[in-house]
Amino acid sequence: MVAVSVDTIEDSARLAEGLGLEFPIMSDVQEEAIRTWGLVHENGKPGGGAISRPAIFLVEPDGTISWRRLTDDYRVRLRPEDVLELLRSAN
Amino acid sequence: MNAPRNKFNHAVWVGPLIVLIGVVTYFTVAVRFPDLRDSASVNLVLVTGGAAIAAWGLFRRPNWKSWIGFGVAGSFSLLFCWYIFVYSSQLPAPDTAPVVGAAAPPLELPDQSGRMLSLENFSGQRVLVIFYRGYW
Repeated sequence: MVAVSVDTIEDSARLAEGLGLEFPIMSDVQEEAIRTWGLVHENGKPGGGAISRPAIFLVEPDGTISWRRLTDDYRVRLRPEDVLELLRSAN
Repeated sequence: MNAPRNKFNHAVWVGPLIVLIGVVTYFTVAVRFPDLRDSASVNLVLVTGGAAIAAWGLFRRPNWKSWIGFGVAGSFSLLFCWYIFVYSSQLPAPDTAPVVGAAAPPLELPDQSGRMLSLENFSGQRVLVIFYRGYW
């Protein structure tokens, strides 16, 4: 499991430390990944700047995407228990 | 309409206060609970209820204080409703996002310790890739 945002490495480190997260949080400051993945939300950041729209993908060992969840409303997001259920059912 | 003249019109400040509590607790409390966050139900009740109380106060005693109370309560509740029903769903169409069955685009970025990481680091494993808005 990896997380991706446009935050700086320092911000991600602070977040990981604050919440005790042990998975990698990738820092996409240059907005490369969110552009290649088609997830850019221009001016989504308070005060301006592009950020990622919330999205979750499951990538198989062969590199194909087997499942994805986007949202139409950034307040409404996938819940951890739904992801766990998906992973259980996919096994 | 028949309120005694000497009694203070509490609706003037109670209404806006309830609206402000509704707005503030959405971003501080409700966001921690997925059901309250997604539906915003409790906060919408507080915000519209507060505006209704302020409107009642204005109807009861239409003076400048009531107008201010109603103005504050009404504008904050409209702003909150706009945020909930309009603003937060103004996301661009995800037309170019990879679909199920497609090859995952490259993903190579530094992690929180500065180490470069890519999907290839997880060879033989399935990877859940979570894009999120950020931490500010």
